[in-house]
Amino acid sequence: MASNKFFRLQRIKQQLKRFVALPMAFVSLVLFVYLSYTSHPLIYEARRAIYDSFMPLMHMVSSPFETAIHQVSFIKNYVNVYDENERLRAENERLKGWQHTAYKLALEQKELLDILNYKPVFEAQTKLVRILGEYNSPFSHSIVLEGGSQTGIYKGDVLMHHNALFGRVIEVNLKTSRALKLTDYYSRVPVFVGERKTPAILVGDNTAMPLLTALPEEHFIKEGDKVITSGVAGVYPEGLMIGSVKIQEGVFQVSLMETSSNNSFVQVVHFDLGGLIETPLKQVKEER
Amino acid sequence: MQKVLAQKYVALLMPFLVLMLFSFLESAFLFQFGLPYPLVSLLFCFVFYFSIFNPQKLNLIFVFLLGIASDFFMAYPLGFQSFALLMGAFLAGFNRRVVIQLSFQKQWAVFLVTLLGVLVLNLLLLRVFLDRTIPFSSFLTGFIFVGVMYPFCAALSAFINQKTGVV
Repeated sequence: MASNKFFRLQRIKQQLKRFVALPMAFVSLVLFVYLSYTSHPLIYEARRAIYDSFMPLMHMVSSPFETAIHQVSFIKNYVNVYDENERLRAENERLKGWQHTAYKLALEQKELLDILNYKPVFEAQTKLVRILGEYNSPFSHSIVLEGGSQTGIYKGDVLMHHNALFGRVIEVNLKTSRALKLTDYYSRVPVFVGERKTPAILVGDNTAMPLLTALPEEHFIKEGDKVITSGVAGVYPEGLMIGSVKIQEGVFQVSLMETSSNNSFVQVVHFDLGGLIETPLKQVKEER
Repeated sequence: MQKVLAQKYVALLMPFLVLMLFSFLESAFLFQFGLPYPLVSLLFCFVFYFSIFNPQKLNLIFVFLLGIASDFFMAYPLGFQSFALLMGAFLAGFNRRVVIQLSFQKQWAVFLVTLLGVLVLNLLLLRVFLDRTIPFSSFLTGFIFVGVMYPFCAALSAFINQKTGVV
């Protein structure tokens, strides 16, 4: 009789064991929902500490793979060296023609600026910073840079790659910083589209081609129109190149000039525009 | 006596520590090459395997902690991976008696169905609580990546299981 009861209890216990994961999953769910809505400062600080300590380690761990890939591309380049040389010769001839035009235009612009007594609205400080890695997750499209407050990177600094806008610094730690790419879900950039400078907002949606929203009811945007920053809100200066318009099933998308950080370095530009983002330089000026 | 106890602790902790290292290496690899991150980490394969073949070695507290660590490494919202891994452990453990008797191919098929169920659940979670939609391509990439890697992860799990002794 007693053993019967024991076995029955054992069976119930075993049946219950199968469901133990459910309350724990519920705890995870509560944690996820709570932290997603509150963004607790302790978690934020922990993440910052992890970025600072783990990022160089992550880079070190994956460097053998990187070296192997570099070696493969080196061999590929070696094989294609003749064709590449021919292509570069042709490009060089073409660019020599443009050099003369550019020189003439630069002189002309300088003369015109002197006549107008024009002074630049903002001064830009540029740094070349190494990219430690890239997050292409469903939650964020961002890159981590090897350089933080110690190297003079500020929140709000603009990332440029091949003279095109690439992203914006959103988090600065001591030795590393994180920048949001234009394709990120939370990225919003006020832009001008085409020669008529139609205002719009470039909205990231975690795909390679962000969307153009807040367009006026009547506009004349067509495929291939260039998209540049508008400078509204003072986060980005006006005129930074972004990409060109692509229309797919009535949806206005932008084909970005720079989508991936294939290169190891990126330009970090500090414009000190004094827009929405408080920068240390602005604070100093206000205090003065 | 002390030696036996130490061996038991090693057997209990080793899978957890090895999987923690694996999670770190996985995120380091994806991070370095800017590859698309899957919605659910490769740890899902290991959790599924251990839930079926040796649940004592990877208890649910460890699964929870592995999820949190993976969230930290992959910069996901905390609790997201834990939820996915624990749901995987629940579904695998629930059908354990049946799945353990199946051939490897059939186990793989069960794994794919479980993975699909958990991914859909995660998508719903994001839609309901964060009002976020994940591109279908991202969903599919994650499913294929984790699904294809299952045999490799199962072999590695069997190796870990064999080498770490009895709990």
